[in-house]
Amino acid sequence: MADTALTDMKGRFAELLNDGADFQVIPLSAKDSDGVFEDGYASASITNILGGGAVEQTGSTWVRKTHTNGNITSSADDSANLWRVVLDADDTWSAVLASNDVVALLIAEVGSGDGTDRVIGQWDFAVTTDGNDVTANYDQTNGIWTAA
Amino acid sequence: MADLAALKAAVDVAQAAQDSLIEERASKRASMVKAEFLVYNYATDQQQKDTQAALGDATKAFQAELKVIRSDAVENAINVAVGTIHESNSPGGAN
Repeated sequence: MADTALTDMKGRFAELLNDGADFQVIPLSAKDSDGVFEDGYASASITNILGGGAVEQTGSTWVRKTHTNGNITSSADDSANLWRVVLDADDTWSAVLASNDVVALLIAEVGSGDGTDRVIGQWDFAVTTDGNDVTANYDQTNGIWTAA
Repeated sequence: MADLAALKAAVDVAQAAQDSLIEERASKRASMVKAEFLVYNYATDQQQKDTQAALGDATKAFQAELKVIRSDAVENAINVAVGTIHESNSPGGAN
């Protein structure tokens, strides 16, 4: 398991970002294997991906977190000639009760609805909840992952 | 102690502002030609940042108060437990 992106969407992330798209972070309680996630879906829509092995976690205080375009940094041409994408603001969920664990965060477009908005990738984020707050600290240098 | 309900209400207001902005942006992205939307996107950059920052600040304030309440609850539980032990070990106590 690794932080990864749908193969068909790798180049599209930077393009969508430059086109002004907004993105959302969706907590997952279960996810596909990397291979199935990357290449196993004919459509990248959120509805389609969540209809497979990925299960959205909506228990306790888990909700989707949105990031508007102006709060996402995209820098091209790092040493490996990859795109680095940084969500400028960390996401926090307050007082998440026990037995509402997550395994990953899904990164997707937001705005047109789950049937249209496309999933870009997923970021490993395994948390065993215990009633405390949960914070996703996004790497402000290297990005959450690179999308070549 | 700050009013937890007021802090949560502030989070909800900030979240509603973020949701409204996302909805407005999606509508414009669907209706405008790309060049026009990019101008709009650039022009509203600071509004996007301010909205996200307001949500982050409200959330942090709410969570900080939650921590205080949790800390107080733990302290109270410890005091009750110590009190019970002290009482049970006192002359005339259960022990």
